[in-house]
Amino acid sequence: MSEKKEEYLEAMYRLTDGKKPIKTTEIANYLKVAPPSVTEMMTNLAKDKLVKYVPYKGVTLTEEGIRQGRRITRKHRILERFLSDILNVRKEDTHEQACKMEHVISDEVEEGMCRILSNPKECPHGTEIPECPKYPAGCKKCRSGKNVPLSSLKKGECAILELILADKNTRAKLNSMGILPGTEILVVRRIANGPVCFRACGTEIAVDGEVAKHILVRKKNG
Amino acid sequence: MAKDIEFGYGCNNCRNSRNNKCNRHRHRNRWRFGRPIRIALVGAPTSGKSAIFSRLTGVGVISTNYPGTTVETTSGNVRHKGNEFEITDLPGIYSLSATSEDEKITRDFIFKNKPDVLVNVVDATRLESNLFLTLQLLELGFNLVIALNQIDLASKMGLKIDTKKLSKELGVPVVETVAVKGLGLLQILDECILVAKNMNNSGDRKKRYYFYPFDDHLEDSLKNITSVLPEMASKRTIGIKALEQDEEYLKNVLSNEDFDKIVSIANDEKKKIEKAHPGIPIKDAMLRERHAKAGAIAAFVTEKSKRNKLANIEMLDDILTSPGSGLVILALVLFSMMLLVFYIGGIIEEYIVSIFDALVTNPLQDALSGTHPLLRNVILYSMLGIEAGLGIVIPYIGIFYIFIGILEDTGYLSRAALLLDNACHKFGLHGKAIIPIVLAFGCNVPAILATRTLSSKRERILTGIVATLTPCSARTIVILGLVGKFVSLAAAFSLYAFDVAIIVVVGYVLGKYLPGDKTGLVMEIPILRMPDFVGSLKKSWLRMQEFVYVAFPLIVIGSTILGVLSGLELLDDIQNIFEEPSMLILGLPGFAVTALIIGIIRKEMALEMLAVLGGTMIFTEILTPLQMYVFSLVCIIYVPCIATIAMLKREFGTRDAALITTFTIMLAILIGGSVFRILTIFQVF
Repeated sequence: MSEKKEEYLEAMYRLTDGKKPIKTTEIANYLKVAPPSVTEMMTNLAKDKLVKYVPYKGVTLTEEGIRQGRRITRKHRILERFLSDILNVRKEDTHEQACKMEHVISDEVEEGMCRILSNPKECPHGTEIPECPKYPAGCKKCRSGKNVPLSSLKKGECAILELILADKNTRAKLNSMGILPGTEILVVRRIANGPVCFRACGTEIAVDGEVAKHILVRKKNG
Repeated sequence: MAKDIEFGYGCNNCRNSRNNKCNRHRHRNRWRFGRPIRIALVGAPTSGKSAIFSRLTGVGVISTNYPGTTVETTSGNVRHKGNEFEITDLPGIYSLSATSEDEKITRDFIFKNKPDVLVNVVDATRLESNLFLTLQLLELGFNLVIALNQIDLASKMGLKIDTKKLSKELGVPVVETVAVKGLGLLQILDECILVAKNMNNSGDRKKRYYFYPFDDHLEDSLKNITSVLPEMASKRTIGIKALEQDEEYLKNVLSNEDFDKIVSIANDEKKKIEKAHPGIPIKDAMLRERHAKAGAIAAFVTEKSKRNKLANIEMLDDILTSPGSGLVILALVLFSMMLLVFYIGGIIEEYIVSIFDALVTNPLQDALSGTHPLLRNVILYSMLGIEAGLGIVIPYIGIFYIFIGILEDTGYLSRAALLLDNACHKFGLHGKAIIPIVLAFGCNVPAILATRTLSSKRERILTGIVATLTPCSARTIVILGLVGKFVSLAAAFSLYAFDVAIIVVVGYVLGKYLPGDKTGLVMEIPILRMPDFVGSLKKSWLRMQEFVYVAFPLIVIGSTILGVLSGLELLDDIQNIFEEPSMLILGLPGFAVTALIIGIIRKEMALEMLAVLGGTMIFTEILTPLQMYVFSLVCIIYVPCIATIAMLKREFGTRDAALITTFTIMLAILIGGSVFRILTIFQVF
């Protein structure tokens, strides 16, 4: 998809949250472009089945259109957070930068930033960041606050694994050992600020402190 | 399958008779396969594949109680009941997805070489997690025989596993084994024969595909995918692989046309499923189902009793891994090991050297006194080389390996890795890197090989560099034999401390600036167990053999070259070239530099050559204490020995091997030069 199309979808998603139809003039005002070019773009998007014309009311996003719009909006707002929180870019400048960057970063980059920021809920301007499309269930889990990182567990505590946020290779390794969301684990040993040893799937596994911070679990009583 | 393979009955003993009624050996006739049955051992790390392999074939491979010991494939042959077997030991894997180096090796081997039977070694104490791989192998339609290993330990833990139930559940034969004691191993071969027989009887490998169902969505998709395939044996496998999007596998088994078709259908199906299970990637969904199934099977066949005889061990484990007592114990273990190695090693070395002198060197010297100097030198120098080799290999390295073998068997090294994980993080490494470094104290060569268990290239190179700077037994001999004997023990220890400091600084700096991914530590902790002393002895013998094969030829060649050079009186010329720069930079005489250059062959030879070139074993006559100190220091740091360089090249490539070598030379000159200057100013000696 071209950058321009993405920009339009993002704008429409922001203006309506994808629900009610919008007039093309509204879009033109928001994006500061001439109305005829909006109409032209809408015809293109309609061909791609991303928007639908609603006679006399304007245009509305299709399901796929909403998905795309949400995806880009999410990237945009995460980028803003990243720029302001990690790179200390001035809050006023983040929007412009993010607008350009959102089209080029891959999903993996977005995921990584989300991890570093420990799953932010809002962009610096206070609007909500849409949930992660890959793990919508997981996203709720990380934001709900009920879940704690594995590293915070003490010896002898039992928990259910909810989400692994660690990098791809580590996740693959844990998965192949049977450590998946839903697995029950029992912490048998731990070294302060360091590795955590836990029993799961009938074996004992050790992960280092960094990995333990990126494994979210729900504590179980008893 | 190739046509030229003969199947059928025949006499095992005379091997000529085609029918099984050979009159001479009638009572021994059994079915036999027309060619060696190819078997591969697969299973999770530390499940005991290597133990089974070396017990069966007599081919020595090293087995330990920490994950990732086997990093290469090894094959051996064995005959049983008239059948030839070609058995291959593979690195341990948790699943068939290839993420680390050793996993790739195993995966490639079983896909490309297609062994007749896979012996899946399953650790009975970790049935649930090990069955996951078993299920994956079954999906792929391999002929499996399951070796349920460590069954004795499982029963001690209060786990009773119903083998028959397990066999019925999985549809493959299951054999109970205790590999370290050699129990049940021949039954594995019996089962393999039966499997091979079935394979033959049913014609073109029409195997009974055992499979367990996934959930309905996945099953429907599988049906849709497989329906477009032409009739073939492994339809289901291809369907599963297509859903997992394992394109590498699919490309190998399918024609281009089929491949494109399958991939596009699989994509559609994937979208459908992901709609039905929102938020769960399809791969994860399949993983989860397999794990759930593995857990269910394990629970079904296992009876747990409350009596766990290993409860005491858990307490011991707590002591070993608590930061306070654990570190003290670790320091004590390593320190006493080093001390014992050098104490016992020293005694044995003296014996060996004096016996060798009395029996070989001295008589030879007398016998050769009248001959041509070239011949005399060549023979005498090579004898000296062999003597040096014997004096090092058997006492120091041998004993070091015995201790390491015991430590490995107990599973203690994994605990050490845990304890030191935090410290290792400062160098951008994780605790697993400790194992190669401990090995490096014995010899750098196996240490570099052991870096394969680390998951990223960056960590491997970093650990490799640290390992090459670690004082191996050969370098310790130079330190003790020169500085320890002729300067003072304190000075020798200060050299050791100095080296450790260098390692720390180099490790820290490189850890900061070496590019590459940092990955986290995920390691299975094996159960602590009593070491097998006989096994440890065998293992250290094996490692010594490896060492002898690599090192001895080099020692003899090096000594011979030196003999030729000195016979032709070229040595003086070479020394003269080095005399000036080395006096200027390091304050060392020319012959010391020649000795160092020879030391590239084997580090301890630097000391031997110093004696030969200087004309005396009493080094105080030819070198000042300061010179000895600088000599030893340079000897520790400069250039890894030839065997290590060869290993570096094999593991990391020519470029990195050359870089590491150059780096160490520069470092040695830099540090040697500065120490020489500083010590001269302060007049320490």
